Amino acid sequence: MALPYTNLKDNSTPNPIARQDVGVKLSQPFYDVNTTSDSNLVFSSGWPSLAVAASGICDGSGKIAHNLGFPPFSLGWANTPATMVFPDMDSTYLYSNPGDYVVAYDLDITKDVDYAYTAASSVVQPYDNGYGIKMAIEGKNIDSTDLRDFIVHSRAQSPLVLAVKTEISADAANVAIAGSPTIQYTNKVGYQTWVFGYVYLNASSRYAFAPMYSQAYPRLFTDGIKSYLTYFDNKASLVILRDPMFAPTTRSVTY
Amino acid sequence: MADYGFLTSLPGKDVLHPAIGDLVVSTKYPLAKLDSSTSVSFQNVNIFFAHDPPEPAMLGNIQTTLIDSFPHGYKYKPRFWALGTLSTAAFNYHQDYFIGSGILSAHTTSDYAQIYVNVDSTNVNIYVDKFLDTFGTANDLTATSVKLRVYVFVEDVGY
Repeated sequence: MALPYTNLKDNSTPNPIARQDVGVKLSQPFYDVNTTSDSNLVFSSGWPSLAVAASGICDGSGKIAHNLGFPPFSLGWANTPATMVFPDMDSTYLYSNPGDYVVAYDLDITKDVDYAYTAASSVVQPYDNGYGIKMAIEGKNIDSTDLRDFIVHSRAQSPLVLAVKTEISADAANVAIAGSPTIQYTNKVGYQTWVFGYVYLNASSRYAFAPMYSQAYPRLFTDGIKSYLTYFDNKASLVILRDPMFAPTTRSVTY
Repeated sequence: MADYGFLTSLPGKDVLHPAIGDLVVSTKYPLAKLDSSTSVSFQNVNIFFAHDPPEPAMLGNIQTTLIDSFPHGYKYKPRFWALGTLSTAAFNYHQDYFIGSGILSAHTTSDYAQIYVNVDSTNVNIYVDKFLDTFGTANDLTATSVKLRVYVFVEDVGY
């Protein structure tokens, strides 16, 4: 994809939040938990994980309350077929089509944040059920074999937050280049990350999802490495997420 | 939130009365979970079109072709994310990067070839939809490569 603007300036990046020296972490067998890299950890509370703060099915008017007090990063799935949908949000509600199932994650899209990148394991590690850490949801059995019953389980990981960039850290020079305020982010992790864009709309007082394939405003321009979003109502947000700390498997398909 | 779990605050911050941003970790909310012990929870699906999926038999309709389907291992519809990147020599419109669904080829508003992912209670399914009407041009996907990064979460979609 040829990006229309090639000389925009990235949003400012304060010192990225480094791995914390407090919390809980668990290493793979035979690795020194005090010194080993994150790729050899089974679990770390220092990883910027995504937590599910609210979820549910949109009502007949196409909304559901999350009551988090901030507009959260959100995703959803339509009903039959269950394809991905991308809700709009404000500090109280998520908005999508009636019947869509939507999830609000515990990530405020109005707050700039940058996390230091640590590489994941490149090797698929066998799971050792002999040790780990787990905490069950209230009312659920700690010995349950259903991972849905756990708040934390070291057999499972989440996608991780890499950055949230808003109008707060936007470079003022972008106005002169793009003609409008524009936020931009370039990831340095060496692969295409998950990028989501949102613009605030004064007319509806909510953040609207900016699709990548659109002939109308708003539209997110991204190739997964460099991303930018032009906005007109004073506020916008880029949410950039990275892969979890375990390696993927590969499947090859020839049609 | 119940009176159990664990919190870790930043050094110098009161763990009993944390302000927003003072916590390193909190078990207030369950993590979005990808099961690292399965082969499908985090998977790169590399698709090569050696043949072109069919256009609609009747102009103005959509032709849906199942490209791939694989079991996710759960007995319910799981939440999933799908990210795609495209490699093609075609000069007509296409999305090199997309999330959820993406246009693989389009000439005008009268034609397109789109790839998307959905789940049912047993499988993750990858489809291509083709649309073509009287004013459109057929979109040939032969020799096109698509790389999908698919997450299949433990959590269900609630229905």
